[in-house]
Amino acid sequence: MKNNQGLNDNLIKNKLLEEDPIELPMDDLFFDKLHDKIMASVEKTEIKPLSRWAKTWVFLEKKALYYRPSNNVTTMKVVTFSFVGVTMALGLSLGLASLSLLHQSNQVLTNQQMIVNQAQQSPQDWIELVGSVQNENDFIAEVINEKMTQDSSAQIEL
Amino acid sequence: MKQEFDRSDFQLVEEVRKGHRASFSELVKRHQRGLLRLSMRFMRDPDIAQDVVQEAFIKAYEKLNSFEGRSSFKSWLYQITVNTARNKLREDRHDFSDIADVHLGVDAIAEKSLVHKAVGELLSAEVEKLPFKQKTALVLRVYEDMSFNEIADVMECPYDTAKANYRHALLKLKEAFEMKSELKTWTNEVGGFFTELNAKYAEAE
Repeated sequence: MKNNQGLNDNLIKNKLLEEDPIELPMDDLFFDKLHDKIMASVEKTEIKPLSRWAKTWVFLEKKALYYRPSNNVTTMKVVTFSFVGVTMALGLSLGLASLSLLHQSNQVLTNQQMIVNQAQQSPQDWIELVGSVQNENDFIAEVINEKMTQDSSAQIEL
Repeated sequence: MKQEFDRSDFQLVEEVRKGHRASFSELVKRHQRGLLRLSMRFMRDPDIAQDVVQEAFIKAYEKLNSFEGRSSFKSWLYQITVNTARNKLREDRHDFSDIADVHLGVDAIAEKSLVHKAVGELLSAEVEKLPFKQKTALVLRVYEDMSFNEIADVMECPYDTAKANYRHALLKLKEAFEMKSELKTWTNEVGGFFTELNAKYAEAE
């Protein structure tokens, strides 16, 4: 079937060539004139320097070249390296995100520890403090207030 | 003179970049015939085709720094020419659509008279009706004898796309002729191209 298709294609191709409607001027004089006309225009033209955007474009074109089917080996390399790169980038960002979360939970633990320490240091004050508050919000406000009084540069996190 | 032919396109391009404008003259001499032939496939009018070639060479000269040499200089020039021709056709879209209307009109009103036209004219008319990309792939493959890699370079598309455009163009031509059953009968009398085609097809099946 493939041979058949190729055969038909060749027949059409040959017929197109046989019936080519384009008649190109053959005399050298015609082409000399065309050449002179082109060169006269070129004389008035300057070569443009390569812009930054053009450089980027050329770089991207170079990369795109690897994705041609005729370049299978390189394509596989590019795909493999891209995959490894993306995986590593993903792993790294996940690791950083986990570290950040861990740091936050440690900070909360530290603040809780601070309240316990304060209660252990002066239980009487702590009892008065707890007794004087009506609800949880008041209690938090009191703790913050005390903490800020002691150390104005401290970061409060509950 | 011999020395000029010994130098490759890449060497000449390098010389032009260094300010040796005369080397561009050699490049023009080398490629102007091919570009004019290509341009005439799209423009038909020889004067407009010449304008396209001139514009293409000027653009090539201006953008010479962006030529990286990954494809051949010829492919790069052809790419610029095809784009210039396409832009020219877009500019003259009004005239272009008029031509298409005329074709449609002929199809609807006097299809029988078409049968009596030469096969060459019919082929030409069918090629004219092809979408620009398909026509480009067909022209480059059939008339310029380019490989699909070169066609992909010129059309700035992947290899498979270039090949698909060419195949679709051939398929459309084939379908167009199959639809003209009267033409088949007529060609039996005048040359038997389609008889040959059908016979080979039946044989292969």
